Parts: sequence; structure tokens; C-alpha cells
Amino acid sequence: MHNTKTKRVVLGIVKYALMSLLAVILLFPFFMMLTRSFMTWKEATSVPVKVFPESLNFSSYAEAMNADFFVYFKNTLIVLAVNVIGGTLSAYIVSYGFARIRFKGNNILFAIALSTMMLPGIVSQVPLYVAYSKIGWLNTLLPLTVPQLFGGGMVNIFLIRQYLRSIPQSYNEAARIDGASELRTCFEVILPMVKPVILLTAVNTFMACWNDFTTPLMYIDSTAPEQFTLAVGVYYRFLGAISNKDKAPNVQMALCVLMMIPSVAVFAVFQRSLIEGVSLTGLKG
Amino acid sequence: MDAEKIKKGIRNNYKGWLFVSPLVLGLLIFTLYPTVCSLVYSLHDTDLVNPMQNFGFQNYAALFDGSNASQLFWKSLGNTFLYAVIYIPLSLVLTYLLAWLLNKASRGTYAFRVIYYLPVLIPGVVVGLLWQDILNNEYGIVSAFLDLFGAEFDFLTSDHIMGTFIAIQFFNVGGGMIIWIASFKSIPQSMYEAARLDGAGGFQCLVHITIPLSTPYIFYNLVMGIIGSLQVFANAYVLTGGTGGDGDALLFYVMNIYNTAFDELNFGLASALSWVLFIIIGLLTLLVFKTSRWVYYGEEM
Repeated sequence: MHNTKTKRVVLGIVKYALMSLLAVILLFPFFMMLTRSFMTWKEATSVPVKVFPESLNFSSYAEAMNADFFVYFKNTLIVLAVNVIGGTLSAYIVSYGFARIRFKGNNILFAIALSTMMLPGIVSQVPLYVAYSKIGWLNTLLPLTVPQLFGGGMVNIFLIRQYLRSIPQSYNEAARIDGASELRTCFEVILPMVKPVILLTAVNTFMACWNDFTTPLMYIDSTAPEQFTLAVGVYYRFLGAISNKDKAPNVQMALCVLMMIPSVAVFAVFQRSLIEGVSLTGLKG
Repeated sequence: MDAEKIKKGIRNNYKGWLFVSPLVLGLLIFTLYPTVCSLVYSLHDTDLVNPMQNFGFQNYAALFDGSNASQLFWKSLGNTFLYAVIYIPLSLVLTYLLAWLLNKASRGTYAFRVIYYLPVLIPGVVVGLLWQDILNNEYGIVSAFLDLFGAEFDFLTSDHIMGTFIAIQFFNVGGGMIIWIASFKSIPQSMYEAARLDGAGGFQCLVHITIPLSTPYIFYNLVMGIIGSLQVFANAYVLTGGTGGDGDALLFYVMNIYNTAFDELNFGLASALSWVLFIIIGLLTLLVFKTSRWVYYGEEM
């Protein structure tokens, strides 16, 4: 009896030690980002390598936030605003149609739409590039925003639809008897009941949009730097063409920190719903 | 009579179609139209200036004729499969174990979940900036650390860059972990209580309850893992500055398509490559579905 108890304690200690070790490893990049962002150029490139800066130096942040930075930031904000508001709204309206209105073709259409998720993105991205170039959309923010307004992404539609289906249909019937139009029922009766999943969709869209590197890379090239979002702007400044690479690790790390701030802030506010997750109900069958 | 029927059909159904119309339009414009175009392009020689010419299978044949394009095709296909074969099983097991460890609401569990999730928040471009610095040969912290032991190791040479990249990708374990934790919620607690009364230990509960009852999610994550791994792009692109690294050792399949389309403007070949990827993903998904007898969907009625 005593023996099994010791065994359990030892196992517990080993478990916590391993989990703590993993935590240290996963936090290590954040530590490097922060500590090096406060160094001067000389400290950041010194050999032997310094782990801590001699003093908290904010000059790399000042250098990171040059005029270009604010142009990229403004573009990113525009894309974010359209996608988070328009994309989420669009996803909700479509999901409402699937989950709350009976119509011919409902299930088939949903199945077809879901199956398009298997289609690799690159299949449509190449012809879209050609199409965008014909209608003058290349090197504008339109390819980053307009597609999102058409349904806001199947993952979001799937999630909201699942959630909407858990609400009894009697709400719709009652609203119908009271003579409310479908649009009014959609926004005034049902919407207030599904706020959590709408919020989660908005947060997910924000994260995806903030992180998106591929779309702007494809449709905005280096001849139109005034249209860059932060992700590609930062990429071209430090990693793109080798010739004009800005070799300043301290500024590079300061930009990393700056780009982490919005994600971490949104995460801090919505951590519960992101970590606990809205469970993927309805995977069965 | 017929007109009456159609009228009635429209009256009964138009509301639903109106609500889903954004998606229908979106699918037509941004999915169906380009997909058809892609198929047509793949059967022609085409770039941005010249209209489509020379109908035929030359773009598909070019993948097998030993030319530069076919070498890049096989190289990138090999790299992508190598990555998928190592990454998918390892990450499934590791994220599952983490979720199992952190599922119980014991002390500190929540803090661990938050810490493990944090790296998922790092944008792809920051992943590139960050690791280029950490692994830098002159002033990177890792080489400085190795110097302490008199060791030397270049993480970005052609022999090592794939391993390095997979290690970097493992910083995302938190993303998979929280999906498992959410899935564990659907397992009724009463089953564990019954098992405990019968004297089952934690490990037995894992093998006989948790794993069998989460097979639908294992299946889902496996399919998503395959689809995702075969389309790795941004992180590898950023880490290598778009080059695919030393000796193309980190040239992934979609990177090769990207370079073919947007650098060489060879839209025909790029489209053919895209369709080959689509077919590979389709076949693998079909294979997983066909061999999915291990998935437990509850008692059949």
C-alpha cells in the first residue's frame, strides 16, 4: 500500500518535470524575441553571444516602426476590418440559411460545399491570379478581402451551423406566427442566442487574417510595396531578395514582438473559448 | 399546371436560397470557375502574355521526362512525403499524449494548456524571422550553446534542414492538443467511474475507453493532417526565403507550384502540378476512408 503511494508521487513528480521542461522549450522563442529586441545592433551581433541586453534599449522598436511599417499596418487593418466584420456576418447569414430554413437542395448544397474543402488551395489560386490580372485586381487589397465576403469560409459556416442546429426550431415557428420576417428572425431572435460562436468565428478570422502570408504574397508583388500587409512587408524587408536584406537582428526581433502583440492580446481576452474550444460536435456519421 | 408547380416551388424555397446565395456565388466565382480554368490550363501551354496554345498532355508528360521541371517535381514530392510520413504520426501521438495528460483539471493544468498553446499564435513570417536568428551561424544562441561543448552543427544545410523544419513545426503541438481536449469532453464521465469501480488504472482507462471513443476524432485529425501536410507552404517558404533551401532540401510541393506559376509564369505546368496534388490528396483520403473500420461511431441500433 505504502509502496504504491510512493510510486504515484514519484510518477507525479516525473510528469510535472517533463511538462515543465516542455513549457520551457515552448517559451524559449518568446524569451529570445523579447531579450534580443531590447539590444542594440552591436549587442545583438556580438560574438560571444549575449543572452541579456546591458540595458533596456528601445531604439530597435523605433527603427522597426518606420514610415513603411505604418503603411503596412494600415493595409492590414483594412483587410482585418473587412474580413472580421464582413466575413463573419456573411458566414452567419449562410449558416442561418442552412440550419434554420427548410429548402430544396439544402443538404446536397452543404455536402458539395463541404467537399470543396478537400480541393487544394493552389488549384484555384493560379487561375485566380490570371483573372485578377485581367480585371486589374493585382497589387490591390481586393483579392485579400472580396472572396471572404462570399460565405466567410467553410470552416466557419460548419461551426456556426452546428451551433445553430442545437437551438429548437420552435423559436422560428413562434416568430413566424408573430409575423416577423425571416431577416428579422435571423438578426433579432436567433443572433442574440448564438453570440459565443459568432465571437469565436470573429476571433478565428482575426487570427487567420493577421497570420495570412500566402494570399498577399501571391497577389501583391514587390513592385507595389504601398499595398503590402505587415506579413509580406516584414518578409520582403528581412527575408526576401538577399541583396537588400536588412541585417539587423535586434530590429528583426522587435518586429517579431510587435507582430505578436495583437495575437497575444486577442488570445488573452478570449483564451477560455479558444482553449476550451467549441467542441466539434456532429462528427459522427 | 406546370407553371403553377414551379411558382409554388419558388415560393417555398427562395428564402433559403437567398440566405445561402453568398456562398453559392462564392463557390461559383472563386472555386468552380478557377478549378475549371486550372484543368484547361493544365492541358495547354500558357502564360500571362500568350493565350492558350498546343492542346495536349505535354505538361503532365513533362513530369516524367527527366527535364528540370520533372526533377523539381520528384524532389518536391519526395520532400513533402518525407515530411508527412514523419510529422503526421509523431504529432498525432504527441498531441494526444499531451491532451491526455492535461485533460484532468488538476493544479496548474490550465496554465500548462495556455503555455503550450502560445507558440500557435506566432505568425508564419515571424517563425521565419525568429528561427533564422536563433539558428544563425555567427550570432545565433543555439550555435553559441553548442560552442560551450566545442560542438558545431549547421541546422540549415541540405542534410539537416528538413529535421530542423520538423522540429520547428513541433512548436505547434498546442493546436492539436486543444482539439483533443475538446473531443474528450464528449466521452461520458460515467464510463470512467464504472471502470474505476472495476479497479482499472489510468493507463487502462486510456487504452480501453479514451482511445476507442475518440476514434472519430483521430480519423478526422488524420484526414486533416494529410490534407494539411501535403500543402505545407508559408513556414518553409519564409524560412528559406522562397528558395527551398540548400539543394532544394526544403522545397515542398506547393512551393514548387508557386515558383512555377509566379516566378516562371508557366501557368500550364503549375496547373498540371496542382491537379496531380489534388489527385494524390483525393486518393489518400479515399484510402483512409476505405480502411476506416477501426473508427467507432457508437453502438449500431
